[in-house]
Amino acid sequence: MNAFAFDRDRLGLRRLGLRRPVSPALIVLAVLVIVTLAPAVVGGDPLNQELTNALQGPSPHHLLGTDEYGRDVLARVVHGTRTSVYASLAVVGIALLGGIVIGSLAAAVPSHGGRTISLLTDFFLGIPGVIVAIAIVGALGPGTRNLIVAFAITGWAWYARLAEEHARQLLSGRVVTVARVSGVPAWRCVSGHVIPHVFRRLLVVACLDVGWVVLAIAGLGYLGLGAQPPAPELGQMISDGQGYVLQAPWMILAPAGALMLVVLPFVAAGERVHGRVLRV
Amino acid sequence: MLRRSSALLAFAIVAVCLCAGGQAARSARAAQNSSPLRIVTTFANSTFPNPATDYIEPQFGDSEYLLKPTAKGPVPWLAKSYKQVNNLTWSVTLRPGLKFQNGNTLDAAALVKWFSYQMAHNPLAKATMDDPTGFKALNDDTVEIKLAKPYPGMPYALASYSLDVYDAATVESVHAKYEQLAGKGVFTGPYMLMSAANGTDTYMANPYYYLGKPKYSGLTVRVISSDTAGQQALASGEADMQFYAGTAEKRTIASNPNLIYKTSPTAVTYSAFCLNPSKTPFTDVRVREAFGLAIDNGTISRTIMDGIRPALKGVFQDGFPLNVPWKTYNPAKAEALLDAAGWTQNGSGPRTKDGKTLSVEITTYDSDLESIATAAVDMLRKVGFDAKVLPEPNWSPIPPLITGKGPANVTMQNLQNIGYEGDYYLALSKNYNPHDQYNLSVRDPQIWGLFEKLLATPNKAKANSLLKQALKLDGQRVYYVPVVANPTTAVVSKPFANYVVNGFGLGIDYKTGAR
Amino acid sequence: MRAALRWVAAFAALVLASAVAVFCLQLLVPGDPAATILSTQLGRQPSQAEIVAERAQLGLNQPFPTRLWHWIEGATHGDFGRSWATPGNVGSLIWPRIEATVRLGLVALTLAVVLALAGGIVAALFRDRTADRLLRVVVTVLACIPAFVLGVLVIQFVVVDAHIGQVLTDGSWRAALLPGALLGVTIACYWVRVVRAIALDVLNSDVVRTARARGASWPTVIRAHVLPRVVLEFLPYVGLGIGSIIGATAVMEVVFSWPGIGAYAAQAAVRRDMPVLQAVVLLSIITFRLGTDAMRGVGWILDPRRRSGTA
Repeated sequence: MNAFAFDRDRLGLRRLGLRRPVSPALIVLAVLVIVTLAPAVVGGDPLNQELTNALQGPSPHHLLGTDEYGRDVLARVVHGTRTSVYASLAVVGIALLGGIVIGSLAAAVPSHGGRTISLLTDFFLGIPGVIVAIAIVGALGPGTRNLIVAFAITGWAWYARLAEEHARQLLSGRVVTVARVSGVPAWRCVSGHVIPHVFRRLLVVACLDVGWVVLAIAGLGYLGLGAQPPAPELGQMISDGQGYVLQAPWMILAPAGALMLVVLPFVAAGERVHGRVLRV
Repeated sequence: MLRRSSALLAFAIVAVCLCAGGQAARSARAAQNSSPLRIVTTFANSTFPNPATDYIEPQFGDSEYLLKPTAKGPVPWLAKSYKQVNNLTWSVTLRPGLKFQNGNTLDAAALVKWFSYQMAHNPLAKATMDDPTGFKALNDDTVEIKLAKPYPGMPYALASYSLDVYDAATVESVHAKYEQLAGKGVFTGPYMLMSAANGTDTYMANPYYYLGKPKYSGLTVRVISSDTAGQQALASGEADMQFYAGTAEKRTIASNPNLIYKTSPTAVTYSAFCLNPSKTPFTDVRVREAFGLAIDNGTISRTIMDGIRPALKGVFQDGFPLNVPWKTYNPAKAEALLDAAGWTQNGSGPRTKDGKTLSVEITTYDSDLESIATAAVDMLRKVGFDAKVLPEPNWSPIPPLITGKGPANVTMQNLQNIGYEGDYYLALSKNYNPHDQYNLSVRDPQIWGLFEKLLATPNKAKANSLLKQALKLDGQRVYYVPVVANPTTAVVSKPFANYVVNGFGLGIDYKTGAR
Repeated sequence: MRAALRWVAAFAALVLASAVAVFCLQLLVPGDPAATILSTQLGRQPSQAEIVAERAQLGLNQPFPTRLWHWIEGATHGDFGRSWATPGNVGSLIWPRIEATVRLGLVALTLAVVLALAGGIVAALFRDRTADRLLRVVVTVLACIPAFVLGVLVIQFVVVDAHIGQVLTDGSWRAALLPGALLGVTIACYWVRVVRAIALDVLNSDVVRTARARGASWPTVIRAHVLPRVVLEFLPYVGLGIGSIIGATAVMEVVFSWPGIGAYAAQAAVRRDMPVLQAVVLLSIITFRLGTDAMRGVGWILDPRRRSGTA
């Protein structure tokens, strides 16, 4: 959605170097821990229905109220957030690893091979992410797993391009040239030197991306293409709550609030990073 | 003094003129409203449909049938009368002076042409009349229908939505480019379809309508993506009525006093779980019984269905003379049956037997069925089933119960009890007819034998008693678990509070309009 | 001239490659499309004979390369085959909707660019003062709220309750204002930072500092030096952002029941209607590419270095 506009900033991140690479990773870790532990801490069953207790407002028993089937909204939000964050991590992880490998290959494989791989990356860079993700989920069927596949397919090219540029720099740099001269085989240079370096640099970008991928997943969930009912899914919950905005606003506000809280640290960190770098 | 009285006089004159003008305007509006009636619906109908297979048009007043289905049997509509000549021959007499919307005459010759065209191009129509052999115009307004073999579905078939009457000559002339039919007025109803573009269909009043001038100058039918959009459109005054509102909408409009949720007095279909008896675990009748006992129809009806859909104890509603009530809610008994069938539970997980889990996968195809299934999943879990609803929509092939192909072992369907034509013998027989390839059916020779007999007998009392026997066996063997009856629904804004919702299919007739 | 020909060749190659890739999406679909289509159309279980006939009619009994060729051939004159979910040709189903989406997209794009430029430049001008800080906080918070959530709330409270705008949108320019504004605001949130950074660079550049030193007023400087340079450097980001605008528009269309192609694609995805999805994806890819190239072209034309002859 807003995804690709945001990541245009990353072009500026090329000048970032290793400036504060730890921060975003810490954020991811913190979010991951909170989101994993929250369901146990909060308690409640996201699937248990109390049909006679539907559409009730916040109460001591149900801190964020109940939905149209009488299910506890807080439990559903907490479980749904966990699903989304895990899915986002999976997407970013797969796209990052795939992108790094392909990008490094594009830089390392000589002449036509490398150029072809680079062309492939170019092609995937030119596809509008959300629409193609919708089409892929349309083909495979709805569900979290297919969502992950779809977003990974549309997202790897970014990392590949960044990786390729970094890899090219490294491959023509001093360390690799010296190693090659002393007889170290090319693939070892790539796997031992290039890839780890590229990985460390892209990790910053990838960690920041976890935030907006959660939003993108919620967007597809709103369209009904994410985790299927009765499993809780933040976007789907917002869609279900639309008819009840006046009677039971917590049905929309709770998942929307959760989305905001999860994404905020990533956006704020991204803003801080940018603020630092581009004000040169 | 003079000033004041002349002012008063002027005031009086103006007031009288206004009232008169208002009166005139109102009666002009009463004669025919100049702005169209605005309807929204979630039923997709955005390209001009093939008249031979379309079933939407009767609802918006575009097309009509020979007979109108009612709870007491078909009544004359375009046909003035009908009669059975012998067991293979029927004759239908049209009203005099009928015209299509384009002005062409609807007489026996046109009707014969239409019958032939329908049989050649509409497999559903052909099946509805069980493949008749011929049609003949006996005179200007009477047509004779000849069947190949005696068919219990007559005369109900003439009230079927697959047999709406149209001008076959004109339809034939566009050579399957149905978009060209826009504005050609091929049907007979009070409103004719002028254009279907971008999700909005526009209708215009039919100047040749035989019963009189339609109330509105036209209709617009706008297809919306969800019930919420419909409710918002009504609330903001952009639409007058919403057809086929899901049951959840009754709760969502509760806070708005200007919107009224209406249901039909008759329900011709019912929602049921269809269990596949050839797939585990439903091969064992005790498991099927347990499934039925685990589901609380009353609570579902009261809560999620908001009382709109009455809970069922049999295939018909309580009080219907032919109903055989058998369905009860007894989770304790369900658990006992499952224990007896060997499905045991340790702890709080689902039951297992020989290493297999008692798992149930339910397919549905609309949001109300999905709501019911979702509620049921929880009830099933409580007695030890591992239940789950498979993703909508299921316009993927409905797995036939006999072959057991496909992932699900249960499907939720809207089955017909009274049926769209009002012929309940035939409607219910579809649940067991082994020759019917068009409907979900279970192969049970004993129950089907009873249906065959009752469809063949002319003695109504005997047929009723055979039906009750069949329904009793149906309840004992639990292939189908009825949940709620489905009346037709609509949401209207306050001026339309008197709109009558027809259980056999919503309709706009020439009289529909605000009070 | 040579460059233009090269561009045409590259574009054609892209379109062809996209068409092939998009058609391959069909391979991902489990199950038999013919049976699916028939069930939808007839509202009942199709017989085996009917399924076989439908497969023949859809050409599904032909090998994959043949089908691919036919589809591409048809696509060149706008025929994308038959829909799997509703009776009718995909072409006739989506062509009328494209106009509505283009309107919404253009409104959103224009507003996003204007807001981003205004916000970014203002933030740069008042760097680290209240206006800048406030703007950055607002932008950060707004960037966290998904556009469709804003849309849902706006529909209830602005459209239905306050009677501003329409629920049943008709695809006109006027109706596009509200959803387009929402989209524009959310997209601009992500662009403001980029514009701010660019503007800061420009404000610190020699040209601007010289102009200010010579006594030019801020409005003149902004109009003559800052704005053109910021716009020029910002253009590529706009081109690249078109991809996400296409996606964001699709979701917003669903929220506002906008009669556009994005909402239709979302519906098609739920109904697993591959031919519609293929057509929409192909058109989106082409639009994205054209948009990026157009921005690059505009940038090239506007580039003062090119105009003045200096490299």
